[in-house]
Amino acid sequence: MKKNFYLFGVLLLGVVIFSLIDFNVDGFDFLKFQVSKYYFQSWIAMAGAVFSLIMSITIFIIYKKSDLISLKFISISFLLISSAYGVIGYHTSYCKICSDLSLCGASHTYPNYFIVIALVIFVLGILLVNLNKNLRFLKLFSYGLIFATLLLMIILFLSLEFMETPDITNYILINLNLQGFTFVFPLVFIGFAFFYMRSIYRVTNSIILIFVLIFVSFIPQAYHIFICDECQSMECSEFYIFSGFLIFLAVGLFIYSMSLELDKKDALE
Amino acid sequence: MKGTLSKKLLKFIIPLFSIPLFIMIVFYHSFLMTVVEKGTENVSRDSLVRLNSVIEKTANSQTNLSNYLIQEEDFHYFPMLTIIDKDFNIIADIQKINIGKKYHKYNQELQKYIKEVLKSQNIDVIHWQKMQLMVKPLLNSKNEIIAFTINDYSDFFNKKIITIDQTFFYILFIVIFVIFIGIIFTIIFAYQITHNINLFIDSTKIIATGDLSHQVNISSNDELDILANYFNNMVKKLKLMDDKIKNFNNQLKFRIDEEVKKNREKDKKMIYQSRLAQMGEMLSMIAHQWRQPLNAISSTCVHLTIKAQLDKANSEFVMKESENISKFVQHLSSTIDDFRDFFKTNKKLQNTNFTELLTAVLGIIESSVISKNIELIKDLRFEGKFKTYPNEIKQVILNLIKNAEDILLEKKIKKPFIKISTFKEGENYILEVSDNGGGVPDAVVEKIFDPYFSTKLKLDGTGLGLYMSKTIIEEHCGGKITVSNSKDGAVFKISL
Ligand SMILES: Nc1ncnc2c1ncn2[C@@H]1O[C@H](COP(=O)(O)OP(=O)(O)OP(=O)(O)O)[C@@H](O)[C@H]1O
Ligand SMILES: [Mg+2]
Repeated sequence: MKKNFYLFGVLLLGVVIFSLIDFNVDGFDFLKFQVSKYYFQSWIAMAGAVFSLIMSITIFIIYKKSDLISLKFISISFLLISSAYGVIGYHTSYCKICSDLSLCGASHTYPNYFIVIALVIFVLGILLVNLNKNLRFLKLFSYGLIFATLLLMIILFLSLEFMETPDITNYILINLNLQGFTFVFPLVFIGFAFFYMRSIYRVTNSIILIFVLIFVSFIPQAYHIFICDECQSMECSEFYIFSGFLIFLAVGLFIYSMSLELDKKDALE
Repeated sequence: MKGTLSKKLLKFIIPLFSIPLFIMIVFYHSFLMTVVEKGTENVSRDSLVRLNSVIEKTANSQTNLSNYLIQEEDFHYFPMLTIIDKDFNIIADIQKINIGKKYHKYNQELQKYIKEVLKSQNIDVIHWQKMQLMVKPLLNSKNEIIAFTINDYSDFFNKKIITIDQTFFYILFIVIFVIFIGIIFTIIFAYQITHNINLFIDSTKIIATGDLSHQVNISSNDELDILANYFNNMVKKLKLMDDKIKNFNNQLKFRIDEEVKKNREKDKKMIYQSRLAQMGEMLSMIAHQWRQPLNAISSTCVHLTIKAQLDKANSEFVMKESENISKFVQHLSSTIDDFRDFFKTNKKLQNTNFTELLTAVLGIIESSVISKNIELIKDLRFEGKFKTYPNEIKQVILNLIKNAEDILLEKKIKKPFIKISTFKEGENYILEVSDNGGGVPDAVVEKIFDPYFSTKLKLDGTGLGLYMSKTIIEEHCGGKITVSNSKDGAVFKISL
């Protein structure tokens, strides 16, 4: 597994380098707080941030009570995803171009939910396998999940009242923004990790599902950043790649905790 | 998730919450449509008022209408507008302008009219509806129609539809996410149920192996808990019952042991009894057996005495006579030997044949049978040797002959006979004892081998003869003894 994380470090460095190469914000002042208009996409991002935050807290509580190390990393993963959603949410709340749902915002907000789903599946798996004789943690987890889902739904349904739906923008899509590697490097890492794990451990269907979900989540994000001219010339892509950076970290922690779990399973067998 | 219970739950619950969500989506879709329509109407009314003022202004100031409209940013939303005057001359052709449905009635008539005019100008209108063309009058301050607007608002409409689609997509996302969460919950729920059931199963497995002191430990506060309580109670009661049964079993075992002991004693007694009886019978047989040699001895003695009195007893004669006497005495002693042998139980298998056995038996019984005028027929067709316990078989044969003799005497049969035949039947060696005593009555044939069953009350029958015979043949010698009736009488068949 060490090899895997050397690769992770290298790829992370690559992400930083490529995002600096194509850094282009068209004179945008990051320090100046933009007035939120709550455009369409910001609501989805906001719901995702709240959901992930609640899950992070829940899983941290379970970790404190059960002393399962892998849950600690999952909790941090959720926290990182929550902040990534925060970044996207902030940007899409004021950026009219990004939040019209047809391309920019939508290609980041929806896919990231796949990672959230993968994490939830993984945590459930951990709880079912490890806490065989203890239903207490499973209950705690389901309470957290209920609360998080309720908040998510409330936010999303409230958004129908308050959201602004801007006009469709005709994008100029022919471009090559090297910042798109922020979403390609995680793909490389995940692919490598998957084949590495498959060579060592017995990989179950649910683990394959988790990998597929993570993999799928990065593809539209990478595509969008690579080709979208507007995002490249303005500050949009900078927000997205920062969120991508956070999510890459989250995925790294996720894979790490997964390897911990699989190690333990191997020791048991 | 292992087990079919959780799968069943998933199959049941997932449609249960996904179908209502799906219906909700459909309703939401129709709701969105109405909202959009209303919104469109409101917007168009506003802009129409503004358009009127614009036209009035331009009429007064003589500025170019089209130029003015293009400058108005509020019309940004609405693409493609043509304004015509009453004579269908195009006043302005504007890319972005508003629409409305207020003058709906005018529209239809005017549309018809315009269609014709356009046709006359060789402009073909293929499909009004699809083009979403809308015609509205423009009024001046005196409420007179001064112009009409012709508007293709399909582009605008499509944009609204796209927004609807996207909002719809948004809702769809919510639904899919909720379904996912639902699946997770179902799994948790199913796990919670099956977890307790699995605990239950584990406990029952332990109990099934016989550990009745084991208890099911479930704390789920539901029906399963109640079930576990009842189950535990049941197991407790089972344990009590089990203890009782064990106790009872022990007592029973003790009693049975005692009974068996008693029975064994009884058996011993029985055997002893039957032996005594047999001995008595045999003594009477021996008496018969001895009569003839004793007579001979006594007559020899008389002969000797007479000769001695007549002084004619020379030594030669005495020698001859005493030789005769000793011959008879030998006969007597051999009879006694036979008798003694009879009750020596030999534990060893010996090589013998039926002839040897019969000779020994007849040595004891023959005289007594013959003295009762019963004919003894021997039909020995099998002379081969085999291994068995001779003394025991002898006892059985003696018994059978005795029984036959008894029945013949009892019924006072004329020309009575007892027939003994031996032969081989397949792998088995057969000895049959038959008589012409009329056979065993059907009513008792089932019972004659039972101990203490006897029909000979007057003759002091013990009822043990056949029972002992059966025990000897079937349990010691591994053979079989059966009875059947021929036309003359009973046939007892020993097969070894
Ligand atoms: N050859 C036979 N013909 C008809 N009945 C018979 C014959 N042999 C035995 N039985 C019936 O079977 C009964 C049981 O015989 P078993 O030898 O057991 O006892 P028993 O002869 O009555 O008494 P014990 O042998 O002590 O004198 C007899 O009472 C008789 O009724
Ligand atoms: Mg008898």
